[in-house]
Amino acid sequence: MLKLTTRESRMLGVLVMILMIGVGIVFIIMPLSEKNALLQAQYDSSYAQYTEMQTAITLKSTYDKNLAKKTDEVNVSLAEISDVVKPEEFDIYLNSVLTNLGVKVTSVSYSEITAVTPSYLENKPSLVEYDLKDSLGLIDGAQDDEAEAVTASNSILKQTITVQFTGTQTQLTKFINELNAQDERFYVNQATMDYESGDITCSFDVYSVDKSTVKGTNSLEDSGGSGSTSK
Amino acid sequence: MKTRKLKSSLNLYREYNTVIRTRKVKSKRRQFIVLFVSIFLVIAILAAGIHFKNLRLELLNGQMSDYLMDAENIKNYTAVQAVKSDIDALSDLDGKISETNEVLDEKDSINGYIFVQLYNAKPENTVLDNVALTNGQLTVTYHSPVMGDLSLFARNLESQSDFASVDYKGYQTSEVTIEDEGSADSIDPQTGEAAEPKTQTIYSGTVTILVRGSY
Repeated sequence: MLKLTTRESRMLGVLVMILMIGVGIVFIIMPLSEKNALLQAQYDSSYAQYTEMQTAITLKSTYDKNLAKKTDEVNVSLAEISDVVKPEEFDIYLNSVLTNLGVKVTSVSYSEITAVTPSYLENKPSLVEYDLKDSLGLIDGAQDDEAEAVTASNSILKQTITVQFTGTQTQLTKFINELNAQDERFYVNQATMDYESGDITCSFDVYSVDKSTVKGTNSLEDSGGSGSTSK
Repeated sequence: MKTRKLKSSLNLYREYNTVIRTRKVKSKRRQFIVLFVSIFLVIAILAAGIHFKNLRLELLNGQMSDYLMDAENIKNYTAVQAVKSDIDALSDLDGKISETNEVLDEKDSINGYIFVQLYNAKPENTVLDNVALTNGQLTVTYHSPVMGDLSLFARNLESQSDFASVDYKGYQTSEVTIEDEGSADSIDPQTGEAAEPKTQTIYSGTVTILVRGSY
């Protein structure tokens, strides 16, 4: 039998050791590690889902309360905007107001309902620009604040109602005040009066939303938000 | 004799070869074996560690999978998700409505008392002809037999709290016949014919007022 020298047997031993380590890593450790990585990823994913589900289920009653609270808040906000005016029903109110005022009604007309983004512009006297104006402003500390129109981001419905009647200035004042008191979403925007003939024309805009189309209206209504008017 | 025999048999090199080298070889073999066993043990322990870790992960994954697949849990979770979705939608809706309400709250409607203020500012002999109020801009047409009343009216309007500015641009005059039927003065006593009708100068003007507020 071939007798190995000491160096050969040492090298053989080292080779066997390297082989053992290599085989151990490649065939045992690596597959196990790969499986471990897979299981760990699965665990991480499952744990995230588990935590989310567990938290959600634990907080179910809280979410229910939040939903009820939020529904109430929406109801309150929504109640601040008028319902869509139904001319046939609104006429009853309008006629009673005009009859109580004792005016002679010439006409009542309802415009088409249009979608508009509500806006307003603060009335400020327009100032003429001139060279010295800025300097004078520096001396007396006056600030040049020009009125800027503010417009809402979302459109809602607007209907203009025009009433023509014959009456006095006092009756016109009372009519406008009655409209303003009836609903804060009635905006009287036009009024003309001929003092000789007593002809009065008064127009007002009604901003509204069709609440029957609101998703989950039943639940909104059930929660009982307080509101202003609905005629 | 005995000593010589002993000397001849005493071969240290041979002794070295037979005893010491054999011992060294055995020792190195043992070292190798210990090293092999150590490597084997290290790999085995490492593998066992990972394996147990995997078993534990499989167990946990199984438990979590059972929880996640539980019909009751799925039902509750789905219900909560629906509620959360509703809350989000309602929050969004509330934000939009609130923003719209903010604009509408700031927007003003014409105040009826504007007409009262207008009337209060009117000098005694002044007559209002026409008033047109559109989006906070009030145009008043008026007349008076007194010249100074037109500017006086404008000055009076300036002192009213609801008016931001008053724009008065002057006046026009016109002659108006004063009808005085049945009066003795209407017939000329000398000729017996109708006397020249009396005329009066009427001053009329227009004033534009900017009403305070946001329209």
